[in-house]
Amino acid sequence: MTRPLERLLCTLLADPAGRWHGYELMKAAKLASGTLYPMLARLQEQGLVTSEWEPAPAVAGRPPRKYYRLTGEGARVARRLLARVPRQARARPAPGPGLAGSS
Amino acid sequence: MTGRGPALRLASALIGRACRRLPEGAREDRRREWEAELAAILDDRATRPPIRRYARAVRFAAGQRRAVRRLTRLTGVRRLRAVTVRAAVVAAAAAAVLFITAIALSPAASHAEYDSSPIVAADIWALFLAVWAALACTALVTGLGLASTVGWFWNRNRNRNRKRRRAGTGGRGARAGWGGAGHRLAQATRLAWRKARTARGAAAIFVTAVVCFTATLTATVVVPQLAPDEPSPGPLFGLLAFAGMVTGLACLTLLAGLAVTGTATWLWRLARHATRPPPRPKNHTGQQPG
Repeated sequence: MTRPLERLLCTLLADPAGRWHGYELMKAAKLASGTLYPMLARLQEQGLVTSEWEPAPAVAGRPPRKYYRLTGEGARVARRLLARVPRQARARPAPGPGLAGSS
Repeated sequence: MTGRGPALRLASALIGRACRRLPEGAREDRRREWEAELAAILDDRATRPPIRRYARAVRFAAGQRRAVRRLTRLTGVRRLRAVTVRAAVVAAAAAAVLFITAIALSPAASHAEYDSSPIVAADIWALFLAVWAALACTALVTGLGLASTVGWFWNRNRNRNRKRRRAGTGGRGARAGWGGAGHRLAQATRLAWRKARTARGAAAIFVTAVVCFTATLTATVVVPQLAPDEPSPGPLFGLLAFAGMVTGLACLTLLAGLAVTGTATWLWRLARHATRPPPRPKNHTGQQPG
C-alpha cells in the first residue's frame, strides 16, 4: 500500500459514514488533485467507495458537487489494510470535517 | 473581487483542456465535478488571503492534467488487453479459415503430377500461401498467448516480491537500503538482456526454419511446375531439398524445445519462489532473532 493511499484511507476511516467532497479530501489527506482522483476512481471501481451528486447545491448559485463515501466493504478492507501498517509508520491525516450529516 | 474572475477562467480553461483527453463518456461528468470543486475552493473563506485561494484553485486545475493521465492509463491498460484479445480472436479465426482453405486446395494441388496447366500452378501457389499465412496466424496467436501469460506471471511475481520485501524488512526505509533504484535497474537490465538473447536466438531459428521450408517447397513443388519440360535437376538437387527439409524440421523441433524449456524453467522458479518462506526481519543489531 502506498503512502497516499494510506493517507486517503485513514482520512476516510476517520468518519466511515461521512460524505466527503474532493476538495475536503484533498485538504484532510494532504493529497494533490492529480493523485487523489485516480485513487478515488480505482477505489470506486473496486467497490470500496461510492460517489453521488448532491441533490441540490449547498450554497445557492454554486454548481452541485460530487461527494464520496466509503462503502461497508470499503471500510472493512481499509481497516484490514491499515492494520498491517505499523502504528508508528502510519500516516496521520489532518483533521478534516467530513460532511456527515450535511448535504 | 478582482482576482476571482481571472482565476476561475484560467482554472476552468485548464480543466477543460485536461478533460479533452478523457473518453467521451467520462468527460462531461469529470468536468462538472471539478468545476464545482473549483467554485468551492474559490469560496473557501477559511483560506486567507484570497490570493491563496486563487493559487489553490489554479493548482487544483493544473493537477487534473496528471489525474487525467493516470485515469486514462487505467483505461488504456484495459483497452490494450481488449485489443490483444480481439487480435488473438481474429488471428485464430484467420488461421482456421486458411487451414480449411489449404485442406480444400490440397487435392487439386496433387494433380500437379499429371497436369501442368497454369490453374494447377496457381492452385499450388495459393495452397503454399494459405499454409504460410495460417502458420503465421497460429504463431501470432501463440505469441500473444505466451506474451500475456509471461506478463501475468511477471507482474504477479514482482508484486509478490515487493510485498515480501516490505513485510520482511520493515517497509520504505529498509527497502531503499536493501537495494535501491540502481540495484533494481541493474537487475531489470540483466533480465531484459537475458530475455532478449533468448528471443533473438528463437527468432533466428524461426527465420532459418522458414527459409529452409520455403527453399525446399520451391525446389520440389514450384520449380517443376513452372518449368515442366526441363529435365530433372539430378540427385544433388534432391539431396539439397531433403537437407533443407531436415534442417527446417530440426529448427522447428529446437524452437519447440526452447519454448518448453523456457516455460518449464519459469514455472519452476515461480514455484520455488512461492514455497520459499519470506526473509525474517532483522533486529537492531542486524541479526535475525532466534
